[in-house]
Amino acid sequence: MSNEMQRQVIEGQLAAMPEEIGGKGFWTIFCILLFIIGAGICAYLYQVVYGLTVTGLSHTVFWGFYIMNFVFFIGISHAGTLISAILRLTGAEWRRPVTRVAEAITAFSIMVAGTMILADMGRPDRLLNMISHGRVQSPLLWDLLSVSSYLFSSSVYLFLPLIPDIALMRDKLTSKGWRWALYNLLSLNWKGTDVQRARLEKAISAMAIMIIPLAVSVHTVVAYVFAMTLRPMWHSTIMGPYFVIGAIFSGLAALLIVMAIVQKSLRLEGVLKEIHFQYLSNLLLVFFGAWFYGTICEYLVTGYGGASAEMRVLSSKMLEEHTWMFWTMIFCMAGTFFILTPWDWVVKRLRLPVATVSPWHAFPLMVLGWVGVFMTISFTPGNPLLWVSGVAYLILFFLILVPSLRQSTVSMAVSASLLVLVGMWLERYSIVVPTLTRPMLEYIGDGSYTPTWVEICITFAGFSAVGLLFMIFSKLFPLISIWEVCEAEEDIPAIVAKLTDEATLPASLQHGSLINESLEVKSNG
Amino acid sequence: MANKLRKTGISRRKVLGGALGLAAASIGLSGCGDLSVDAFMQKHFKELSQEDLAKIFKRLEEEYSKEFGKEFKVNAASAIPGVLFGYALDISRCRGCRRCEYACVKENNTSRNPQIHYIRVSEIDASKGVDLVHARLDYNPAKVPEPGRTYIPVQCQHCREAPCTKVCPTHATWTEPDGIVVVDYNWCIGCRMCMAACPYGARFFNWAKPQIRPDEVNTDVHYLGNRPRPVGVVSKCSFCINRVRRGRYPACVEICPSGARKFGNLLDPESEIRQILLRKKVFVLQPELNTQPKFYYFYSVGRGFDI
Repeated sequence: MSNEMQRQVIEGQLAAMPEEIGGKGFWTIFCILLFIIGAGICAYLYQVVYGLTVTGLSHTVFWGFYIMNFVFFIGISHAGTLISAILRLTGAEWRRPVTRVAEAITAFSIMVAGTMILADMGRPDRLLNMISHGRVQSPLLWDLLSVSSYLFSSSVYLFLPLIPDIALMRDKLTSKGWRWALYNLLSLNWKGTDVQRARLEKAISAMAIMIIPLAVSVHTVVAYVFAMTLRPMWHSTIMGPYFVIGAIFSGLAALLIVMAIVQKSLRLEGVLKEIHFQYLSNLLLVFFGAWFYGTICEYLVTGYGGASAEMRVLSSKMLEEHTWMFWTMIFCMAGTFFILTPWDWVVKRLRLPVATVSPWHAFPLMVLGWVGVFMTISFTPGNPLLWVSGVAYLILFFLILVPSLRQSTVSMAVSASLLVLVGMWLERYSIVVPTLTRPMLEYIGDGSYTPTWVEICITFAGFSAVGLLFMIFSKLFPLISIWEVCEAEEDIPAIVAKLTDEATLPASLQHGSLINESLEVKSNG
Repeated sequence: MANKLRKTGISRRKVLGGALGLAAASIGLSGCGDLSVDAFMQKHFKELSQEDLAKIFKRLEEEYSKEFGKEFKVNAASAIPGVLFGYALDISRCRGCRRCEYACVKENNTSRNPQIHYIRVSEIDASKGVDLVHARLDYNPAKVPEPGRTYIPVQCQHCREAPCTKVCPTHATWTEPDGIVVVDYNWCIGCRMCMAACPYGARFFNWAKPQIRPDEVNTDVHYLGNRPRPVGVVSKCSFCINRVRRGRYPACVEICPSGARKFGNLLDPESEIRQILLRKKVFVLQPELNTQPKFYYFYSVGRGFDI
């Protein structure tokens, strides 16, 4: 088959994807998500009528689930920026099939993050006051400015690489229905001429350069909402960088999960290959390291200093009512580390006299973990939650060493990513709530926070909305950047050939050319 | 053709009606009734002309009298030139009777349900000095003061460098020329950033529409002070702006049975507050935060009892 023919086959198959999507499973999930969002909207209307008193918020703990979700969704949104912009600028070829999904997650999670702020506001009807009379001295105005410009530019950044694909989709259509009209409108008269291509490349590069500092600023100012107050364990200089690292960490995890879903449900194993999961898992491990370093810095410095107000917050997290959230977070992250670390590689590099890794080889590490758990339990012997977490940790530890799990890069990446998402959401909890439960003037007394059904409904609705928006997007536009994948047609076989030469690469990564694979998969399905 | 026209006419009317209905429903829903088009379009307090103010007062008076069945008088008496209000609290005389708390609630029309108290008196073991770590809000003996106890009331400190006004995203809270930190309840968006910034826990959010019994409501109200609050906004102690700008003491000062509370003009060298600053050893809460409160604490006499 000639290159041109191969290219047309890929274009045809990928462009047909949106039409093919929509089996029974798709619409069932679609309806379930719609229902959850409907429940969330009802809960919100209930809150509008009766005021925020229907939430679990109080005078001491006046920020809760909504603000945590806001921080979390903004964090998720960092997936797109990192993958797309940084990898584009550094010319990482393997990014090509990954960028579209990443950019879509970004745009949708920022939209949902915005709704979380609306849900938290006492007077959403006065939102425009922030625009007409915004005070530039307020961290919330920095938030408004950077988040809205981030939403705008990431939407543009999602749209720009879509233009050639939209034009392609339009040309593949046989009848002129509403789809044709939509594609025709959005394709901006794209004809694929050299001038147009040059302009598009230029625009994408410019956006990629601009969007990186913008994304860093977004999560930094989100952190500043907390850090600019004088509250213990909020008023800390590490908050900005720590939030940015946490954001990229959770964003990568979200991207891996969505990629796995797309790969499995659309049978795109030939395009979204194991190597993509492997690279992103490696990146996830790197960001685990960065996150862990930030956590150590924050907690060790605070704990060693021992200032009374800060110690009250610290002990509420580690030993008192927030132990469950805090230690589950730590266990999740520890699990991520154990799953993602390439133990076989470690064994090989250290020239350990072991052929394969078995659970018993990790026994010393496990003992070390348990010493830590016991030391903590000895401070609070009456806390059963800590015991539960400890046992869960043990089970997790054995699970991750199950050989069948370790053989699949995708399932390892997904299980690590799920742990990261849970862990990062719990981290948002243990940043926002514990500080509020221990006010600076101690006489006010300790606050407590239990979310109500309204907050839980709206939270689930938020997660569902990200999913629903993504599903609608997948029904309209290709989830793989067709023109970018085709552009690298010549490069990819070379890269793959080069990679397969290395003896260190597992057999599962030694693929043939992209085109043959995708053809095979498609014809099988 | 005619049929077609009629059809489009109907659908257009339907669409318009639907849109209007939706708008009306949303206005009805948000703010449960206290949000009118006028209130929605209202300008910032500092941009209002005298005529605008008169109109707003009329609207508010109507709204309040409808709600409570009483005639209300809304004013916005402005700051007196050459006045900077300051407060001093004599810890040695405070007996922890909490009369100030309830006088404040009555004067300021703060919500009874959910309960909001601008002043909160706490009890400390006297041997510990003013150690707020060991303070308790929920003391409840048959008789106060108890021996070996110090009482310390905390309310808005009206800081010179107020962290709360610094972080407000909409200029809904600011320091008036006479040093009173106020909130425009018709401008606040309810983000609660000021509550996060305040180290004294002195700002209170109206989680629900404040409930006040009509027979308990104070009908003489100031726009920036004690007027009935809408739901979803932050409110706080205003040194009883409605009283002090017309030459009266705040309600808490007036009610205090032991004379522990002192109030006056910091710019007048002859005022009681200046004499206290001159002669007594005063301190402020959390001076290390550089908030520079205009609310001072002092001991006028020894505690008068052993530990």
